[in-house]
Amino acid sequence: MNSKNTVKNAYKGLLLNFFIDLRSTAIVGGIIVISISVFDIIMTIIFLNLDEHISNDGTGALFTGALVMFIALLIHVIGSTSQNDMHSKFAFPINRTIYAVSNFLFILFGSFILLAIVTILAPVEMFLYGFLELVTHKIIYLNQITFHSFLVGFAATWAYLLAFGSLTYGIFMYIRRYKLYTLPVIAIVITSVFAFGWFGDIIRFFFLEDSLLLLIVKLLVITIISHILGFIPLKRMEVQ
Amino acid sequence: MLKQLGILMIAFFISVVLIVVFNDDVEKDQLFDTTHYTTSNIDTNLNLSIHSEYNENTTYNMSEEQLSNLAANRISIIESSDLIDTIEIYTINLYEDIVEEAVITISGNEITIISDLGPLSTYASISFLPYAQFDYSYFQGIPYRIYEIHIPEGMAYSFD
Repeated sequence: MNSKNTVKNAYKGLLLNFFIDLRSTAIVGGIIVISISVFDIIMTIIFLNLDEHISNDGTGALFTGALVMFIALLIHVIGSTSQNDMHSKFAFPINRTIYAVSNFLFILFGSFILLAIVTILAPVEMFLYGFLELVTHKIIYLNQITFHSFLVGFAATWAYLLAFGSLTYGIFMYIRRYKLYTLPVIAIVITSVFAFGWFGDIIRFFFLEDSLLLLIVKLLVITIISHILGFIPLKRMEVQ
Repeated sequence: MLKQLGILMIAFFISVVLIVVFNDDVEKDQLFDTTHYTTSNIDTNLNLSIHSEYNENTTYNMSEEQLSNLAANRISIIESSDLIDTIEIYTINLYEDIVEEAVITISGNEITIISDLGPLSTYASISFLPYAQFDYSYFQGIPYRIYEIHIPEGMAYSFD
C-alpha cells in the first residue's frame, strides 16, 4: 500500500515539476501572442486612418497563437531532453518508467494548456475588432467560429501539438544520447525523403488527412511510437 | 499550481462560450449591407460567371437586373488593383467548416470563380494575396486586394 502511494506521489510530484517548468514557456508564448495581436490591431487602426478598408475573419489570435505555442512547445521539449534537465528530475523514487509516463502525460496536458491560453486571448481580440467595426464602419469583422468548427480545430491542433511535441522528444532523446550516430542517420533519412520524392506523400499521409478521426488516430500513433522510441535511450541513460 | 490550472480551465471554458455565442452566422450577414463598405469601383454591369467543379458546364449568367441587384447588395469590392488577373484564394464553406482553395479570375468586368464549392455554399469570404499568404504584404510592395463576395443562396443552389 505504502509502495503504491509512493509511486502515486512520485507521478504527482514529477508532473507538477514538469508543469512548473512549462509555466515560463507558457508566459513567454502568451506574451508573444498578445504582442502579435496588439501589433495586428495597431496596424488595422493605422490602415483605417489611411482610409483603407480591412477585412478580418477573426482567426488571428487563434491561428497565430497556435503557431506560436507550437514553436514554444517544441523549444520547451528540446530543452527538457538536456542531460541537466533530465538529471534534475531523477530523485528517489522516480525511475525511468515513472519519468517516461509522466513525460507523456505532460506533453498531452501541456499542449492542451498552451492551446487553452491561446483560446483565452481570442475573445479579447474579437471584442476589440468588434469595437473597431462599430466605431469606424470601415472594417468588416467576421467571427466564423462555430462550436463545431472550434471543436474540430481545437482537437486537430491539440493532436498536431501532441504529435510534433512527442516526435521532437523522441528525436532529441536520440540526438542527446547518441549524437554522433543520430545526426548522420537523420541527415540520410531527410535526404532520402526529399531525393525519392516521398516528402509530399509522407506529409499528406500523416498530417493532411481529410477525416478528423483518422488524422487524430494517425497523430496518436506517431505520438505513441515517438514515446516508445524515446524510452530506449532513456532506459540506457545513466542517472545519478 | 493546481489553483492556477483550475483558473485557467474556467477561463478557457468561458472563452469558448464567448467565441461561440458571438459567432456571426450566415443569417447575421446583414453585416454585408455594403453601403458602408462599397467603394466606387463597383460596376453595375458586372458579368458574374460561376463555374462549379461538380458540373463544369454550369455557368450562371445573371440578367442585368440581377447583376445590378447583386452589385448593389451582395458584392463588396473593398480594394482592387488591375495588375493581376488570376489569384489563388481561400474560400470558406461555413456549413461544412472546410477551408478550400479556389481560383478567381478577373478579366475586364468579368469575375469567374472556380472552386470546390458545393451547392450548400452560400457564402465565400475571399481574402487573398497574389503571391504570398501573408497579411502585411503592403510592406513588400505587392498589390493587395480584398474582396468580400456574398453568393446568394438561390444562386448557389442553381449550380445543379
